[in-house]
Amino acid sequence: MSGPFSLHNWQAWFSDWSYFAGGFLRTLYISLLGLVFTLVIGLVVGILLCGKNRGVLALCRGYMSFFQNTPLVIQVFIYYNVLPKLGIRLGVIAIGVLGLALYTGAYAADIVHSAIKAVPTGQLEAAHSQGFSYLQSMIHIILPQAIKIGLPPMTNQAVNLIKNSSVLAVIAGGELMYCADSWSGDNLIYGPTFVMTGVLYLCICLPISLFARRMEKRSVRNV
Amino acid sequence: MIVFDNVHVSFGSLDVLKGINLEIASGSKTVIIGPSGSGKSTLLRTINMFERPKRGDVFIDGVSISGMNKRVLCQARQDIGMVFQNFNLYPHKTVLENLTLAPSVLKHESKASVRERALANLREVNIADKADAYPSQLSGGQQQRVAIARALTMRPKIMLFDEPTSALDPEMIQEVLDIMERVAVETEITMLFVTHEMKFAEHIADRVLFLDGGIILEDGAPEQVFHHPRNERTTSFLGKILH
Ligand SMILES: Nc1ncnc2c1ncn2[C@@H]1O[C@H](COP(=O)(O)OP(=O)(O)O)[C@@H](O)[C@H]1O
Ligand SMILES: [Mg+2]
Repeated sequence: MSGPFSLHNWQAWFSDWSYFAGGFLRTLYISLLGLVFTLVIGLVVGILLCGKNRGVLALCRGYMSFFQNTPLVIQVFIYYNVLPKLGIRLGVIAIGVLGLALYTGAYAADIVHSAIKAVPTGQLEAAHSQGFSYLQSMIHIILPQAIKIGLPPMTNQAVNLIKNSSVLAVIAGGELMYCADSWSGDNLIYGPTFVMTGVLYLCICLPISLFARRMEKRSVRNV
Repeated sequence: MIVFDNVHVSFGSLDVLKGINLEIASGSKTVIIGPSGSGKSTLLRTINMFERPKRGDVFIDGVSISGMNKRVLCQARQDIGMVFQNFNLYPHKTVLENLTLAPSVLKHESKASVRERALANLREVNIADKADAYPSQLSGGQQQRVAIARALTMRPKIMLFDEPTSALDPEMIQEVLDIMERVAVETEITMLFVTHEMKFAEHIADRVLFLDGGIILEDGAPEQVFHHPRNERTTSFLGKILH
């Protein structure tokens, strides 16, 4: 059999599997770190959005509008090409983590904000009536309930983040998509490369999506 | 003692309390009645500073509560329990945890002593068998009894009840009234009830206030307010309530 999916091409891909395993691990690593910072940004900005300080609100809204409405690939390009000119030198992984977290954090903030808003106001009143401060109420009463509400959409954002990590290929990020690009370019073998790369992304994302769907069903049942 | 000194509360241009002057003796049981929108909830919520007076001030045992900073205010609220129309139990906590959360976080008491007091209070409201259940597994009447026990577990000096039976199915009202009556009779806590349950009010109240349009129109013993009201509007309101 010849053509893009010939046996020879498959053999060539599998004989270099360790190269892709490295990219796969790097994608996992960048995504995991990116996710941690996404959650931190989402939590902080999401809670600030519940406040009343107009300056803070404008700042949060500005951040979210900018990062939600420009392509991630352009944001990453700016970090890669513009930051060094300002004297800020970051490694590719740091740019990847920063880029993914700032971008996904803008969506995560929305999720945290709406999840907190979805907790009935009586909960905060009950907490205040017992003598909890605002922060204590958040920690002990509001956030534990908001997490249940926000977990399914947040999991979807985690999947998006993992898939979006593929844009780091444009700055030679060394992750899975970059491996696919460079290896297929060198060997002129595209069919198996991109099929297998897709399968590897699927291996990470599908379990998370299934988990999100299960959580969603469960929270619907609990209403 | 709770003292209202010429308290005015407004929401935007809407004046809700129009100069309330009131002294509530420690340990007394006061029932507040009045038409919807007359400012009953606002009056209760001024005591724990959920609403702030535009003019005038409230004093609890001589201490002005509008002068308090946030930290002192939280401290003061620990002594003022509130029971809400919609219970507002914490749904992610068990019944027992609903009672123990605030005392263990805020009062730095030992787990064991808080737990013991919580269980005693659950027995007091006849719901000890549900200690490990979640609020969603309870009926409305059971949830409200847990809410009363939760407030009691903070060992408050004052308890505010804002229409505690208004959200209940009719067959559950009596069990909650019975519990409130027992707590009112057995404790020295200063209690204020907003309620339309006239029989309950006659049983437990030292004093009944009739609030209308943000003004106290009637203030007296239950017997006097219910059976010999001085104000025409009280008569007409009572007529509507008692059909
Ligand atoms: N947070 C608020 N914002 C605006 N208006 C309010 C607010 N709370 C109460 N009100 C208004 O104040 C008036 C008195 O309310 P309330 O004290 O709840 O009366 P009651 O408990 O006697 O029914 C009503 O007209 C109500 O609409
Ligand atoms: Mg009311």
